[in-house]
Amino acid sequence: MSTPENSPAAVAAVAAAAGDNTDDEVEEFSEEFKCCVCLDLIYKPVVLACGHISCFWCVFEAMDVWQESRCPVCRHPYYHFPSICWLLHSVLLKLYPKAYQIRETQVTKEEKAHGTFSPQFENYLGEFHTMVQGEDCLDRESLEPDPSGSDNTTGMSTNSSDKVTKNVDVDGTCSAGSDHVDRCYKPISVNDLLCLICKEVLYRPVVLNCGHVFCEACIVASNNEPCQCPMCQSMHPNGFPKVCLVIEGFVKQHVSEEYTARIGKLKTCELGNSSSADSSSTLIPQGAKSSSVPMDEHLCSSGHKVHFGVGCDCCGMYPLIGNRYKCKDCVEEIGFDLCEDCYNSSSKLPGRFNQQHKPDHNFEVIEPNPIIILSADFPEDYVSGNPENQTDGSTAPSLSLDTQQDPEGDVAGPVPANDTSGRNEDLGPAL
Amino acid sequence: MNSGSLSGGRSWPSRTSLTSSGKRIQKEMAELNTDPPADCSAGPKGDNLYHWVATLFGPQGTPYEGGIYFLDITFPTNYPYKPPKVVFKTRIYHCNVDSSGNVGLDILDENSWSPALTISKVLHDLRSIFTNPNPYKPRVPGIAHLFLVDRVKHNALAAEWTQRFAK
Repeated sequence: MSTPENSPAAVAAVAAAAGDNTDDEVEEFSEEFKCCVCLDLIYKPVVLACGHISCFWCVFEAMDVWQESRCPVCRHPYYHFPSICWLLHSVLLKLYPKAYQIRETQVTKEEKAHGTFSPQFENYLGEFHTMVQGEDCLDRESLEPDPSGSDNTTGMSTNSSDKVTKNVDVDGTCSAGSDHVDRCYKPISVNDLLCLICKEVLYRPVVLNCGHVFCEACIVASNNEPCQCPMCQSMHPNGFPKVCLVIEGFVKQHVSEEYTARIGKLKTCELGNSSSADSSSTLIPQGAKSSSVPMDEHLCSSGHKVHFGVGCDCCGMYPLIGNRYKCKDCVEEIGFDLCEDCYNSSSKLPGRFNQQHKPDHNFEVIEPNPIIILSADFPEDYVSGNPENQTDGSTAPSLSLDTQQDPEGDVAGPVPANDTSGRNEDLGPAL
Repeated sequence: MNSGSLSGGRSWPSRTSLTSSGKRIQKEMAELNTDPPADCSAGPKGDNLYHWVATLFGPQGTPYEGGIYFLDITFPTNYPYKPPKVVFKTRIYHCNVDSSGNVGLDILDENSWSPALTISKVLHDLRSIFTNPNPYKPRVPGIAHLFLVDRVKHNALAAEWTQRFAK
């Protein structure tokens, strides 16, 4: 079932096909779109501040519960879990319709097993209009039924997707004229690769923490403040983002004409502006470039509360530092938490995990468990030992329930006691 | 299922699953088969995908030349987010490998490990400690000391061990 008959299809694609789908004509995807963590086609791409790309769940899993996380590729430190880059998502969906769909089926299955879900595109449509062209195509994706019924859909869409793959394969310069030919799978056009500010083909593209893509020069950054997304107004906290080389290379390759035209235009602009000192549109905000939020200082300073294993659902800060606002009305198992800054700001994005959070929900402030702060010096012992011991206040009730059920009489004494540390010690062997 | 184990589910949970680590290991296996690295081989011991055996050949021009070294590789269930455990099963006279076979290799350290690293890269690094032992981060300080002060004697001993244990 996994034997490639005609082409030396990418090993990863074959393996993916062997998993859930017996279709042997899955597209071979290019190495640049292979996730460095799962070694499969990137699904729901997340672009880190250093410009490296990985899957939504791969980035999430690779993040450090205890401290700053590091990029798997370049070890660049970061503290915020970025949002999905929907521009890249729609590009991948158009480029590899079948392979991407297989990945979708796989990931949806896993998400169901875990009960936590990655964001769906439809959530974002109401909030801000990021995509110039991709919307109708992605609507279709969100309408798609469960994996159980997706066999039919896959079969039905095979024909249309075949056409598209051929189009893309034959000429990388896909014409923009065929807009309404195929509403679901259109070849990549210039419209998929536009900067949201200058509305031109992306030049030196950077991806912000919110997942929006701009030309590097279109982001206004002052020297000391973190830059802000011009579309959704959310802050980009990890210093000035680096150019995403994968997107840049893709633009160069697939809309080469427009890209060369853009460079030509920029050059003439530069010549024209050379007399006026600093108004050149291609200037990169040098000062902001190297700045990085000194979160370590926050972590070390005693005055700050660190909520290990808890992230802010708005800005993605993980672990959450400072006051933690937990939604009392969100029913998802994963919960919905905000950091103080995001709680006070007016814009509340949908959660990082597709929570059905509503503006009228109520929040409560949650204190971190004091034991956790003490254990900050020995995180590894705790990780390898008893992960269940790192609770915050919110989970204490469920833990005490466990102890009452399992080793009946033994722990009955210490459980109602007010000291949590005693309880944890008693729990250790039981768990 | 360890989802939500960290704090009872009311936070961002860990959701690594056996399927995702298994898939990743299978992909690495396929890649090793299509593009095998030089002078070594690796693959699952039996039916268990998480226990591998690797074979390294002592590189030419080193005291380990001609030796065949067997290693056990154990993948954690949350691989690739945590490093695999590598143990020499063949005895070797080397300052970075202790008498139980534990290897002192930077990238296998939990803090230096990156999920972007693969077994093929680990094997590459293991091969490089044959040619370039690191006496400044030794597992066996005595061997490291000898390596630094009397290279000839060190090499003679290492070659002797190669003859005795690795042939």
